[in-house]
Amino acid sequence: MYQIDFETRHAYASSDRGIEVTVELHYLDSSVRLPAKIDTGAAVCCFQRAYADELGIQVEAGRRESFATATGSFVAYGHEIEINCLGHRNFALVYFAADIDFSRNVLGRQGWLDHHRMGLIDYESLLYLSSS
Amino acid sequence: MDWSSGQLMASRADLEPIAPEALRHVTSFAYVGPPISGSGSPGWAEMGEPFFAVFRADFRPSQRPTFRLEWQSNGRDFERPVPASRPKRSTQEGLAILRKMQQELALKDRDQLERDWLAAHRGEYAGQWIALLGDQLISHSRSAKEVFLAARAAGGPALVLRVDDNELRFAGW
Repeated sequence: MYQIDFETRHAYASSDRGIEVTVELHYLDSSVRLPAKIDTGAAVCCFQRAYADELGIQVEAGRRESFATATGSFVAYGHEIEINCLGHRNFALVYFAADIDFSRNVLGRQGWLDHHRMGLIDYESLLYLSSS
Repeated sequence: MDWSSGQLMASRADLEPIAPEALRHVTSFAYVGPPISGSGSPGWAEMGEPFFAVFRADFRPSQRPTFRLEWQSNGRDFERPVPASRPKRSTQEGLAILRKMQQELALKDRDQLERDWLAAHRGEYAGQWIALLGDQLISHSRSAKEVFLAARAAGGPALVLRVDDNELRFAGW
């Protein structure tokens, strides 16, 4: 028998859109609030380009990388920002899609899951979270 | 209300529907510690804000305190006294906990209002960017830039998102 304690319990909306939480992205003196999906299958955190523009980030000045998806691939650029999710803050390298029409915001392993301990009871729509 | 896990005992939101005019006469205080017996000072602190009370997370349900507010005299009694067996937290520590709980509750309320609004109105704005603050729609447009500008002008930390223009279920990347 194992037991883990968590600092935060969050009831998320049960929907077909995935497990969505509200996050804040901070860069210098700017911040944005947006809904993002928690995706344990995603290698990185990736966000729509519009958020980078609002934060004053020059997207193409970041670290270029191509990512595979189930249906193809996309290009994104990595930048160091701060993430605040449910009151848990961490600095991370996250990616902003090059394509303005990219429509996903995802909290993945590198940059978010690897900074937290997370528990999930999906049939109760409950998320448990602690900073690592 | 889950008393055994140290939830906020009463808040302004709880009290306002009951007696909004009476709130003006209530002394504000925060108390963190075991139930109090007697009528002496229980270690409360003036806050200059409406009434709040916070209780430790390690209360057993059987130790649940009851209280009443005497609006005009700013007094309160705790019934069924239980001997204090644990040290009280300091006032500063109690106030810090109280403020954190207040902030967390406010943020939860805001997030819930936004989720409810999206559940009800998402379809009306398919394909558009929107800015929401609680249940207030600040702006909507096909242009993200316009919406971010409006969100900034509104002053609050608005939730900004592009509403999907299809109803397909999400299946990962």
